[in-house]
Amino acid sequence: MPPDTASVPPPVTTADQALQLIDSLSAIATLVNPAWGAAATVLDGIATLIEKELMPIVQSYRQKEIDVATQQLEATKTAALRARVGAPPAPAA
Amino acid sequence: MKPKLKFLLVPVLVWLGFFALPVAQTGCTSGSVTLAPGGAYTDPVRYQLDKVISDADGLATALLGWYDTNRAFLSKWPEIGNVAETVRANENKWIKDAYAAEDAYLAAAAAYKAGTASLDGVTAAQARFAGTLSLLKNLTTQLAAYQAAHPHAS
Repeated sequence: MPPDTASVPPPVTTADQALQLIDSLSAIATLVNPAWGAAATVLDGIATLIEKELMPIVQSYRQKEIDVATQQLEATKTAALRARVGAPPAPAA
Repeated sequence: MKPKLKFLLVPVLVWLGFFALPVAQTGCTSGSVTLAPGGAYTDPVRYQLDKVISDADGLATALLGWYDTNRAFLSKWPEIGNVAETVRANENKWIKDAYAAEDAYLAAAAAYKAGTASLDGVTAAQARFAGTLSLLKNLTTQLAAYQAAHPHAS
C-alpha cells in the first residue's frame, strides 16, 4: 500500500505566515512614532528596515508561482550561504 | 518611556517570526506555492525552506547593522546589546544547523513517500528543524523575563 503522502507533515506554510508577518510589521509601524524624542537615527533605522528589508520579504511570501529568475536567485543565495556557514551543498533532489 | 522596551523587543520578535513561524507550526498545508518549470528548484518545499533560512540570515544581518549603527543610543539597554552579540556570535551556527535539519527533513520525507521509512521519521525530522530555533526562542524568553522584572520600563 503506497504511503499517504498527503499526510507528510509540511514544514512550511505561506499565506497564513505571511499574514502573521504583516501583523508583526503593523506592530512595528505603531512604534515608529515621531514623538519618540531624540532617537531620530534609531527611528530612521527602523523605517529603513521596514521599507528596505521587511516589506520586500513579506511581499515575496505572497508570490504564488515562483518564476525561474527568482528560483535562480534563491539557489544562488542558498549556495553562498551554505558555503559561508560551512554547511555542505544541498543534496541532489 | 513605554514604547522603548517594546521597541527593543520587536526586532527580535519579528526575526523570530520570520525564522520560526514558517517552520515551527505543524498541520498546515504548503500547497500554495508552485514553481515555474525550468527553474533551479523542482521541490517547492525545498525552495520555501531555503527561502526561510536565507531571509532569516538577511534580516539578522540588517538588524545587526541597525544595532551597530545605533550602539551608543541602545547602550541604555544592555540586554539588547547582549542579545545582538549573542546573535552575532551564533548566527552562522544556527544557520548551519537549520540547513542540516532541512536536509534531514527532506530526506525523511522522500523516504516516507518512497515507502521506505515511517512517518515517525518525518515527524522527528520536522521536530529537529523546529529545534534549531530553540536558541532564538530562549532569547525572546530572556527579554520577556527582563520586561517582567522591570515593569516600570514596560
